[in-house]
Amino acid sequence: MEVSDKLEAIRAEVPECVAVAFADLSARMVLSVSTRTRQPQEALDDLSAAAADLLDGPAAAPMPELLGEGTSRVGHAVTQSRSETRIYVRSSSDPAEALCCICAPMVDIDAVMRHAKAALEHIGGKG
Amino acid sequence: MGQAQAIYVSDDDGEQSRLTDKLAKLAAAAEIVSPEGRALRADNPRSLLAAVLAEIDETMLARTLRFRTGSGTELSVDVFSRRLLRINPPAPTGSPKGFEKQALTDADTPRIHDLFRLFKAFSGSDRVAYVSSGPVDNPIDASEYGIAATTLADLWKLPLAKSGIGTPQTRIQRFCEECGEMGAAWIRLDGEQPVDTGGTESALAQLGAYAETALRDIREASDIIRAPAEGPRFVLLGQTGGLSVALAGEDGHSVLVLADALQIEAVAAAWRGIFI
Repeated sequence: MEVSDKLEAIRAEVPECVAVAFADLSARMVLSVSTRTRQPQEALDDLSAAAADLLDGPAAAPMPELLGEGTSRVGHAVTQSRSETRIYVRSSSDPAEALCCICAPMVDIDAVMRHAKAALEHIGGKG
Repeated sequence: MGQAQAIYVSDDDGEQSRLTDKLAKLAAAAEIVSPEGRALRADNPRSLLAAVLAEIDETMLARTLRFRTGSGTELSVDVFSRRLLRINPPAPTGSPKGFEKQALTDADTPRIHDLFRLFKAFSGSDRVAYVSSGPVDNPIDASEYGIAATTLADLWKLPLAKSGIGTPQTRIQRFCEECGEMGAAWIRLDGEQPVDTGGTESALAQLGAYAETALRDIREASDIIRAPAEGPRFVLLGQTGGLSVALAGEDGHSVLVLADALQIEAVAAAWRGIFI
């Protein structure tokens, strides 16, 4: 199954998820995306930039100290507003890769994280 | 962007040092509880009753809610699943008889006017009340179905207009309370100032240490809260299967919450229940 198929599968499993993007955090670039409606490039650029800011930005910097020994990076981030919930999950096999999910506000966050981690494991395994 | 600026601190070293000291003091306290509880403010006594019903309507877990007006009249009620289960004694002076300790059901609807008189005896002519909550003293059995707050509001012709009652500050305070009920530690900030905490001493020490470091660069960190939409914001960062820190805020009122992996969904849902 290709990366795009895994992204499609997440949207199929979680109907509240309207867009899933596979991003390179170092390059701050979306590499593959599955969306219900076509997203403009600037929206994808913003999404990958937000993922990098959240998972590797200044608020993430003091997290390893909080999270304890052996933890070097923030693994996930969630943002909520009245209009949407965004969930970002870092790959355990390649810390520079992450999935970014744009969802309806009332989405099951645990379910999205679970599917995203499974997809990232598959993508990492293929690499 | 309002939220992004809500937890910004000065770059001034003296100010930073003062905030650090204050955070340390707050982290050292196991829990600071206002003796009066959270304030409900209304334009008139009817709106105050609507605010009381809104509190019942927003209570999902079995809790005893204790209300006290600015003039000192008290009312204690047991609440569960947005429903009024019973009136705990003593009822306010001047209340109709027969409600104290009685489990309420929809069958009590014919007595709803008397129940309204009891609530009016509580509110009097006050426009301010304080509310606190705690575990129910009396066990709740299956026969105690209660009356939905929305039913009371309909019958009493009181709007559960939360927007007229709640403010960013009260919404943040309510979010803190719900996080506290889950066992999560939190530090609440008004603007730049840490003003209250909740949680165990050890968890607060962890969260305080994070806040001390994060607040140092919070102007940059606030970029993560930049929103595609305006309004209240919620950001959570964490490690798989480990601890997470949530930052929530609205119009200058903010809170940092320390949650474990099992609390993430509940903390996020609590935010949605209050702010959406």
